Amino acid sequence: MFPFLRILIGLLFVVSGGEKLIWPYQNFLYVLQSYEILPFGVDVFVAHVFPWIEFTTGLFLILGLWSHQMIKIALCMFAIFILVIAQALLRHLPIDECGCFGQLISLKPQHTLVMDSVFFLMLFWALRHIKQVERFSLDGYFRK
Amino acid sequence: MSLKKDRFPMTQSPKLRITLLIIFLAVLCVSGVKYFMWNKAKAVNVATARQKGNPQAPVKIVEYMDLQCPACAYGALQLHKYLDQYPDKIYLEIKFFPLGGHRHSLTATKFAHCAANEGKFWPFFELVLQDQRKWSDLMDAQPAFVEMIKAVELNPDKIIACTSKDELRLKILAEKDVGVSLGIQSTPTYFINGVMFVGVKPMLDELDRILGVKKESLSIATENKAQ
Repeated sequence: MFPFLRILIGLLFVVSGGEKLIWPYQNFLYVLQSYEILPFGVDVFVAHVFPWIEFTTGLFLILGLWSHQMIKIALCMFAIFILVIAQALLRHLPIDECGCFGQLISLKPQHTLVMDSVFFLMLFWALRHIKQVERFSLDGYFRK
Repeated sequence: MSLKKDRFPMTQSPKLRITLLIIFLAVLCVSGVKYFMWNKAKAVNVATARQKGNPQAPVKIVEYMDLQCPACAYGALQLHKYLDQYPDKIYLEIKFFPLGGHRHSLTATKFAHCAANEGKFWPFFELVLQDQRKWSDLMDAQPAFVEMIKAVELNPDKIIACTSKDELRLKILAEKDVGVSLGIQSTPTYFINGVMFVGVKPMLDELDRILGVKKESLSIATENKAQ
C-alpha cells in the first residue's frame, strides 16, 4: 500500500512537472498569474524553477531515493497547492481549471482542492510509516 | 587522487552518486525533448493576409487567438488602442487558434478567413469581437455571421460557398497546428519580436516596456475597459 502510494504520487509529480517543463514556461506563468498571488518577477522565477522541483521530487519518489525527505517536500507542495487554490476560490477568481497538468488533464479547482487534501493526508500518514514506504525502493537497497 | 577524494567526500557515497546521476539524466532527457519539440517550430512562419501596421515597425506582434475567447476580444481592443497611438511602431499579425471548447469558434474563423480573402478581414474581425457575447450564446451562430458579412458589404452567398469548403477547415487546423508546434496551449498567446507572452496583461506589460509607456496610460486603458 505505502510503496504504491509513494509511486502514484511520484508519477503525478513527474507527469505534472514534465508537462510544464516540456512546454514553454510562459504557459505555466499564465496559470500562476491567474492565481494573483505572486508579485511580478517572482512569478517568472517560480515558473522556471517550480516544474524542476516537481519533476525531480516525483522521480525520486518513484525510485524511492531519499524517500523521507521527498515525502516532506511533497507534503509542503501539497500544502502550497491547497492554500493557493483555497485563496482563489475564496476570492472568486475566474479560474475554470486548476492548470496543474497543463493540457493533459483538465480539473476544476474545487476537485483539485479535494484531491490535494486527500493526498496530503495520505502522505502525512505515510510519513509515520516510513519503513513500509521504503519497501521496493533504492533507499532500501542502499541500506542493505 | 586521495586529495581529490578528501576535497569531495560526498561523491564517495554511492547513494549520492546515484542521486547526481539521476538528476543529470533527468536534465538531459527534459532538455533533449524540449530541443526536439521546439527546434523545428522556430523556422515555421506562415504569411497571412491578416496584418496591420508598419511592416518595418520595431515591434512585431503575432497574435494567436480564438474568436470566441473573451480575453482575446479584450486583448484585441487594447491592441487596437496601441495601434492607433503608435501606428509606425507596431506591426500586428493575427493567426487563428480555434479552441475545441468553443462551439462557434471554427465557424467564426471560417467566416473571418473568407472575409480576409475578399480584403475585408479587419472590419469583419472588429464586428465579430464587438458582438462576441451576443453570438456566443446562440445555438446556431451562422445567421449572425451572415449579418456581419452583409454589414461589411460582402456578398453572403460567395462567403457561405467559401466557408463550406473542406480545404478551408484543414487550412485553419493546419494554422492551429503551427501554433501547437510553437508551444501554444491557450489563447490569446502573443509573440512580441519572437518572444512568447501568454495572456493580455503580460503582453501589455511588455508593450509598455518596449514603447516606454508610463503607468498613467495603463490606468487610462483600464478605465476604458471598465466603461
